[in-house]
Amino acid sequence: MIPFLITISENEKRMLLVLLAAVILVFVLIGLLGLLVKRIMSSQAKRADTFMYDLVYTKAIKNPRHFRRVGFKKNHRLLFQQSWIPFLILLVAAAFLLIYMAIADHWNLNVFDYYGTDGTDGEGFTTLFFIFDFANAPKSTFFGMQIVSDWPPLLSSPYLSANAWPSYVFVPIFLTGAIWYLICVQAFIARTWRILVMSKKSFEKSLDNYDATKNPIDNPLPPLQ
Amino acid sequence: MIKFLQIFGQGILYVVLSPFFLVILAFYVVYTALVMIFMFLKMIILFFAGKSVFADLPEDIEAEQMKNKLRDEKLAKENPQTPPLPYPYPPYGYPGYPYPPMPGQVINQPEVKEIDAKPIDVEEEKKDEQ
Repeated sequence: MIPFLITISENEKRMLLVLLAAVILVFVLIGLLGLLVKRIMSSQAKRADTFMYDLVYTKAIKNPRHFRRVGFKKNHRLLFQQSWIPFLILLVAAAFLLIYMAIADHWNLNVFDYYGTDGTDGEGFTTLFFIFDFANAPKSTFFGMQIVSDWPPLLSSPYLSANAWPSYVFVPIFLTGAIWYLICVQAFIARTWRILVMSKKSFEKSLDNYDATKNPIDNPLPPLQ
Repeated sequence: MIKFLQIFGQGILYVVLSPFFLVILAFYVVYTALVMIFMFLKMIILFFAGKSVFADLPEDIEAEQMKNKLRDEKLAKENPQTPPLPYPYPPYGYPGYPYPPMPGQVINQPEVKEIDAKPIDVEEEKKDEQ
């Protein structure tokens, strides 16, 4: 038998098409997400133009190095103004958890625990979610590869646990502060990049449209912009 | 279709480069946390020194002065002021030196002529009174 001749059933053909569509969809979604992040960062970077415009227009900034020095200083100030609240939220959440651990003398608290001792007294935030056993999901062989072929078994259903109240308080507050802070850091990165780019671009002079024949030596120089 | 393929290609690129993006993000998270702590300490020190961490930079002050100067020059160009009279001349309002007319004002004063007055006869006046 010629080894490269493969016979595939209708079912396998369908599975192959579904897999291909799923892979393409995943990459397209990631591409769209990247596009969204790029657009958000472009609009965040415009803030750097706002705080540097007057200084460049009035020639208070003399050269690219001066531009970067002043730009980074203003960027750090804006970072502090924008992110002191989420930073405080993160500190408050961390302080709450540490105080609870100290008072309860329970230093090995797992905020993501769902099982506890018997599956009904978990101490983590994940007691509120469905927990699936992805490691033991049923698989089938497909062209020599092991591919997931059905829903994984359920390990835990959502339930409220009295032991988990510190996690119920800590995790939402911490997540709020963390996401807010990450957005501020993203804006900081966007503005830093804009400052680096504009420090060179603002002081660039181009000779592209310069015509030496139209500027004889006895003509006055054009006014400096 | 081309746009779809572009987005698909960008998706593959982002998946490949995602570890580098995560490393850069983690670096900036740590760096900004240190900046926050440093700025907080600087704010406390400057507060007790009577200053602010958000005070204007020397470049901001220079830019503000330059903007005010440009604004004043523009206003002076749009509203030219007549020069004041030199010292030997009387101020406005002095007879013979009227105020300049307002824009659109029409001054319609009749000409004042000098009258030759008769000499006063004292005896005739006494007769009139009697």
